[in-house]
Amino acid sequence: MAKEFVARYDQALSDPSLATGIHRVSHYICSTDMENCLGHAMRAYANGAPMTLGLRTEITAYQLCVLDDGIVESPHACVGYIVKQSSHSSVPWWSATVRLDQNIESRERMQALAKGRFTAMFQAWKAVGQRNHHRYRRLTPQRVNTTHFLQFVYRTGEYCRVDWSYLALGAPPSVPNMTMQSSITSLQEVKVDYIRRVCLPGQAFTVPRLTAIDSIEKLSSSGGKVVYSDRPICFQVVTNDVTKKRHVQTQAMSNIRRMVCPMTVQHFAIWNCTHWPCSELDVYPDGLPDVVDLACLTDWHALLNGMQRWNMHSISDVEGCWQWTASDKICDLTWSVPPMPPHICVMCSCLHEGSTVCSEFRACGS
Amino acid sequence: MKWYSTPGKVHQTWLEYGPRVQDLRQANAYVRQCMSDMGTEFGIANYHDIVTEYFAGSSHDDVSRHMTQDKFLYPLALQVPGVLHIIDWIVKDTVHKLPFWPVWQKQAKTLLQFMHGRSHRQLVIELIKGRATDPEEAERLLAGAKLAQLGTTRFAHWRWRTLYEAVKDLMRIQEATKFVMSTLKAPAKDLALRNASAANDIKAIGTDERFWSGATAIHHIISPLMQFASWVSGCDCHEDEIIAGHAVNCAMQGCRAPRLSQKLKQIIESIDARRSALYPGQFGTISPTDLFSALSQSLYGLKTKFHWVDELPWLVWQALKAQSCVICICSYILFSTTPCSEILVCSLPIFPMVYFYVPDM
Repeated sequence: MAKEFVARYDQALSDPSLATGIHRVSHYICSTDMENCLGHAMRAYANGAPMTLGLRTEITAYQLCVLDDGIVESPHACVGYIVKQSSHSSVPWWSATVRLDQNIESRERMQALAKGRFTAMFQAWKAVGQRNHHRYRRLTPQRVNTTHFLQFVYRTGEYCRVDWSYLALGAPPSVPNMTMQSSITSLQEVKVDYIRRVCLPGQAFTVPRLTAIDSIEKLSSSGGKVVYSDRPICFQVVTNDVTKKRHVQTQAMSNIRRMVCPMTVQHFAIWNCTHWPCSELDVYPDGLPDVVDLACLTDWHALLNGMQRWNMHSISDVEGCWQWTASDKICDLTWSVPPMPPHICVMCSCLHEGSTVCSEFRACGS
Repeated sequence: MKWYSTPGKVHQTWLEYGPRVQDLRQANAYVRQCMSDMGTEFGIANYHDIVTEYFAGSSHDDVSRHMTQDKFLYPLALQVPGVLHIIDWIVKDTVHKLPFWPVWQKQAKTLLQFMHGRSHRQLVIELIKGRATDPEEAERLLAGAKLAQLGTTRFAHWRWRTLYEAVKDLMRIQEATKFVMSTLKAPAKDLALRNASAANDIKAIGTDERFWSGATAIHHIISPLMQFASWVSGCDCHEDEIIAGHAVNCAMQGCRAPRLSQKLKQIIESIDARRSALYPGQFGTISPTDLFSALSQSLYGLKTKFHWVDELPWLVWQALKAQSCVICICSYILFSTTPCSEILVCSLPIFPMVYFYVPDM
């Protein structure tokens, strides 16, 4: 895996579009040019050399990351319990209220670091926040009144009135692989709007499949027209809100964010279909749900005229297959008009590259 | 609101590692992981360095011109979304795909609430003993339901994993409840409830086959996710004890990063297998199509919310083969500027695991 890590890093580094988005930790582990990085050791290890102590320490430190966020969430429950038990208590009181076993645990940990440290800290608790380094090291208590001290430590009272909002003005440093959604034209916007209204989660569809390979023979006889495969693309929409959710920023996610109309779909493959078009299909899931750009799945003409909705009836007689029965052709759907004017009517069949959405007309309320 | 939470975190770090600017920066440089849910605090891991601003306090007019925006507050930290939060989210979205969920949820809450109380359970035990024609049958029902010893869990919408416990409890009491409810002639009187309508509801739920099929179906579709959650909370060094159901108290609990990718693949395969094996009548009248959609939602959630596991730089978790036995002493290093790497050089594998709590905004 170390080899793969290095290979992927080098690949990203060599690609100008990816190089700026490389994560700082990737640089730290793999870079040979930057200062204080572990690139040489990592590359040697990837090539079969033993791991250096420094590299082992760092990688082990990353590997020991705790994934169980229940550990960090559980104190919330304690706070809730404490607040319920003593409704007039203060923030410092909640924070200071620990159970005996927590106190013992804390004492044991600190004793392991330095004998008597727990007792010293218990007595010199006002040394927390001491700004003078020497006094801080000697655990010299601050000479401040307790209320003021507690407000300072727990950021209550006057300390919670500090206005930090100016921090929001600063742009974050180049966050890895952060790319904005590609700008789309008004023409694409109309198409995306159409697809989003048609392809609702849970529904199954077929669209003609564009092909260039298996119909070369037909191409010669088609007179240069677009050729579609005998087998359509079958899919079920799982969800259409992929980009609305918050995700960890990675290269894969930035690719999804660049899509014009990303949707998660479950692809299906057709089983034993003798003729197409037909009114019944036996289909089986083809892999796992995947995010696809529906706007690029096939050409606009096929999407508009060839898309068909199917009823996902039940399990087929064929093992592992589902039976689909034909429902509406999307181009034959009757659309309801929203009650409130103005209405904008776009002739979808007229949409093609180069046209603008000026060919609309505004209908009056009547 | 990251700008509000981040100074709070810096303040806590400074209290523990201060007092100088360099002490604080050094402490931040030791951070290798920032884990949170995917809400407001998620952005803290990639926030710019505000140490200078923090020390300047509220006199930000001068400071804002010198903000160190080219540097990160945690220069070597990985942004890690909380795995259990993600599983909660997936469970929520999965069950919401089931058309019967809104009604089922209401029914389940009513029944769980009723069976939660000791007095109600005692009443049900007496009804079983009194109305079963065969004492052995009564014995069998009571032994299966364990009503005397165990109550029923209630589930909360903010902790979706509690749903699993609730469903398991429902399955435990299923037979006993069905038997009792089918024998009720005057529900309000028999169940000692003043509200006749509530008593009738409880009877209707208890005898509703679709409700029990729903419970079994929900159990079937969320159990792989729950296995995953349980695995995440465990540790590699006590795998056998955890599988055997023994309580384990280990400092390494939750440290599953090196095997996360592998486990994720197993869980995805397991859910996919369940999806492929659906058949009509498997869960009574519940449509396999609905269950297929719900399981597809689970797969989608796992795939997209964990897509980062096999990408740079999180791939570093798999860069070193997992050691057979790692001894880790969790340690709150207070008032200490000893870097963890120095401690490791002394061949003492101590890692500081310090948890900070940022107020939810």
